[in-house]
Amino acid sequence: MDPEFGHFESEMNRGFLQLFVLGMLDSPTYGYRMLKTCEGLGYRVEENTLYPLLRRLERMELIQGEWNVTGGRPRKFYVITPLGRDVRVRLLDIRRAQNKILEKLEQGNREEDGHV
Amino acid sequence: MYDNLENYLREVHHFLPLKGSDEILSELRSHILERTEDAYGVIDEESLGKAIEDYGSPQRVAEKYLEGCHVISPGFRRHLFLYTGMLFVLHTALTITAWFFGTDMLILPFFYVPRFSGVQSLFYLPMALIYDFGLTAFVLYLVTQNKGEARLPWPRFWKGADKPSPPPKPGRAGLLSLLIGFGVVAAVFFIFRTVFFATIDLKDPQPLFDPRASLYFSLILLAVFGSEAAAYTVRLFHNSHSVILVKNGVILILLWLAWNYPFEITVHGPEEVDVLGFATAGLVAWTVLAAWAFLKRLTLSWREGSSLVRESE
Repeated sequence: MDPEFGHFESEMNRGFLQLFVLGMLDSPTYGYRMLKTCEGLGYRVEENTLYPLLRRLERMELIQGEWNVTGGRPRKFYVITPLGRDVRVRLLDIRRAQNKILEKLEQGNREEDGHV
Repeated sequence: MYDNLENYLREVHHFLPLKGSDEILSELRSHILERTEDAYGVIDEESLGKAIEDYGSPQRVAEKYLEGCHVISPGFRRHLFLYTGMLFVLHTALTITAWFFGTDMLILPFFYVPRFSGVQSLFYLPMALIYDFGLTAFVLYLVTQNKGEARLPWPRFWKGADKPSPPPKPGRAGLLSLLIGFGVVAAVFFIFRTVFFATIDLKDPQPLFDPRASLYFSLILLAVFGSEAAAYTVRLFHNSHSVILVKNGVILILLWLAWNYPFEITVHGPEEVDVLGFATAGLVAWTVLAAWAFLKRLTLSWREGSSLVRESE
């Protein structure tokens, strides 16, 4: 991939991933399973991006983590907090508004191209 | 326990100066084991080695956790170089002066330039530059770690410097109390030839020092009082930072004289009290405060002067 484009992509993904993670944590789950869910949805997330993000969200009290031993292996399970839900609603509103703006912009560009 | 994995986690830990890093490593261990099992069907040193390679270098992994944790805020980058430059100019001036006069130079609490020859001073300057850089970086590090928003001064060298607020307006009552204080100290001095006493017996007061030292230090103290009163009087008519700067400079010279007394001192105080030790500690504290006040007023006078130049243009 073009390295400069990769930079733009990771910048865009940064905000999206926060929202995506908050969206996945209505029921408790752990990092590896989240990555598998992402892959299943066709969204590739780097492991060493996801875990620092989970830690930051936990520090901000948007999610809550708890260690559990399942299948003989200790895993840290995360779940969204009430504060996290509020933030998620607001972030979704912002995302929808941004999408509408982009659609309008695209539509304007198409119309301009049609006139030319 | 797998050596590959534990060595890798140890290296990540080396780059991870965070509270709770043990928990991060536990989560990382759990993830890598699960991923290895999933990808290769078996967990052994070889499969772990491949999984670790895919995960990334320990430094890169640790840095992802440290995003946003700055040692020095990026906003202070220009300050780091400008302040280092200013300190180095000051350090160089001190070095040249020390070399020229063949003496050592000291500005408390940060600068000490020893006495040395011209060639030695050339070797000293690179070290001074590293010191100045380190000192500036240390201060900016403390400001950054304090997490507050700080607007550090940014001198603009005559063009565009912000005009500082004037010093507090002096009042006649303040002047009167200063003059009364000065009068009392002066009267005590003229009666007893000293203002330092070992006892407070008014009928037979005992001087703290021998006559020569008493006269010398009392005159210095009187001169400090005199400069305070004179500066205060001038400020009634022309209230500016430069007046206070001159007064602070005079006080620094007087303190220099106090440090460099040209005789032996005999103390008449009680034997169980280390009078000279206390006096020296007090003088150190006073000199540090006076040096700080002088530097602060120097900056304010500089800004005051630059704004006057700008207004006249």
